[in-house]
Amino acid sequence: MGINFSEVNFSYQKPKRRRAVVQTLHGINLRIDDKGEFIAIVGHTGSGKSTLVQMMNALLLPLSGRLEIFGTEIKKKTVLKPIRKRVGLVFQFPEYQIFEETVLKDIAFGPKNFGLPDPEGRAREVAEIMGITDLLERSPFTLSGGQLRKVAICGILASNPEILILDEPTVGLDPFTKSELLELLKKLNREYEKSIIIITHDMDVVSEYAQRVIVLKEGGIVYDGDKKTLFKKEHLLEEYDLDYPETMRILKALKERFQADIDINQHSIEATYQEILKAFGEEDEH
Amino acid sequence: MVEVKNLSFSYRKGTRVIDSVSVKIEKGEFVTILGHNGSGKSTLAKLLVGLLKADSGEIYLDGRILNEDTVDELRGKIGIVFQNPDNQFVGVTVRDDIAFGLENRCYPREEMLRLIDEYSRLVNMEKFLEYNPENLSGGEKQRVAIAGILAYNPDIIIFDEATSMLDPKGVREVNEVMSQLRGKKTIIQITHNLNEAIASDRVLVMKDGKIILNDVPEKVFREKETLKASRLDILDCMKLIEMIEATQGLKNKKELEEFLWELTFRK
Repeated sequence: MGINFSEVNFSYQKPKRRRAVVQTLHGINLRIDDKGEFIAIVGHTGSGKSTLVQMMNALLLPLSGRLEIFGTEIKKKTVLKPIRKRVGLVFQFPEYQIFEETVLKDIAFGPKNFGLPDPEGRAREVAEIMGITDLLERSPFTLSGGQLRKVAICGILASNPEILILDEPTVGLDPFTKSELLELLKKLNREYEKSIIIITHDMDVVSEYAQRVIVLKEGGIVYDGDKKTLFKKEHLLEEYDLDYPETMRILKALKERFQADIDINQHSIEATYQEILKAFGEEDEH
Repeated sequence: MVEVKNLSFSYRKGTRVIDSVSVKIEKGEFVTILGHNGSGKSTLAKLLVGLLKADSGEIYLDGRILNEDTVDELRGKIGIVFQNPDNQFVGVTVRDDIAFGLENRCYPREEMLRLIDEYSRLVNMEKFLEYNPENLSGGEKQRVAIAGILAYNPDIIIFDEATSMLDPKGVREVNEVMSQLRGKKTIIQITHNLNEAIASDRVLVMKDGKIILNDVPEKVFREKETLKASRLDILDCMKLIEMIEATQGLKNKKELEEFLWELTFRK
């Protein structure tokens, strides 16, 4: 199940004008599982990232090719509500779309809109998971940016989607709030088996949290696979104009400076430290 | 030069967003203000450009006090680049947009044309003058905004999280312009990204509306506990130094620590 793209093309222009159409996305083949994936989509502005995730939520329809979401082919007349309930999309700066009087009401709006039973009960549940129960009775207008973003994500989560997509969820957040939010996404992924898809420019986020990376370039997928495999291939990073994550930058510099035997492909501070221990620790006595 | 004396501000009664802040920024200095979301750093910027009025305290720009009588005139001395590239355009073309600030200040036409030409070149946007700003990338939009500010020749430019919504290419483009301006303008950069503070002359750390650290980056980055308590995290290199310090029996321990420290400032 999940999401299947097969040879999908998309363009914002109408094709009937008989001119060569600039395609926003072309030849997209992609399978996304509905359980336990943690995917980062990276690529330049204009590479088609936001378009791609909007198709995953059936906000945009393919121009040609086949797009299936949870077994239903997405066409003009497809009933989309049940699909959108299962694939939640959190836009960039979702806090701008909060409008209810209280946090509780705002979070409950989604499930209510989908006609799910007990929307407020669901709202309380997700607020518990995201650690914001103390905010439920407050007016959204009294909250900080980081709090608001959590509220907005709760609003999507309350409908219990299997796949949760977030378009640049950490932009504008301070380091503390950012890692707090990412840890929550990790928890949703690990403990609740949700598939998480994030669009990000932050290679440190990709490095620390994603398992699978999709690289978009000029509307096509140029890489789709395991994170470590991507980072192993230096020429690919250069070709796609991606930065090294900080951990790898540090290890690479250490390796060059000390001519040490270091595997630089590490993606957390702990793993980086362990690699340093391996390279610089005294030999064990045998 | 910017001088702030005992400045306080609150949006509503009771909560002070800016709490008795005093600070001096010299002409030509490049200062970074670090702080978490809600620490007061953007409010301070709005006070400096006269978009907000302080409850108490004074702001001096080039020795002249900023108040209702002087604000119109002093606004010519200071410019601000905002976070969201989409929120700062008025013109239909890049040319119009750069011209806007000049028109407001009644520059003669010939002079305007010359300035638009000069500053669009400086930010590498001279080929886009007839473009609609809507069709530009985030980095390009921010560069146009910078040109629009430079054209009226303020001494002080504030970058209020001006790169936080850009992709890595956009960040590089804006940073390049910023480093070109270094020394020529007084630059106040507002960010919560410690990496961006590394290159500055001085770092101010804000928390709960107060400036709690005010020193060169090399000193500020050593204040691990204060940074953590200010919700700012510490750099990966610093974390590793801390871990290595606590480890027994490492070869080259001292060299490792020194190298990681150097690496922090090598970007």
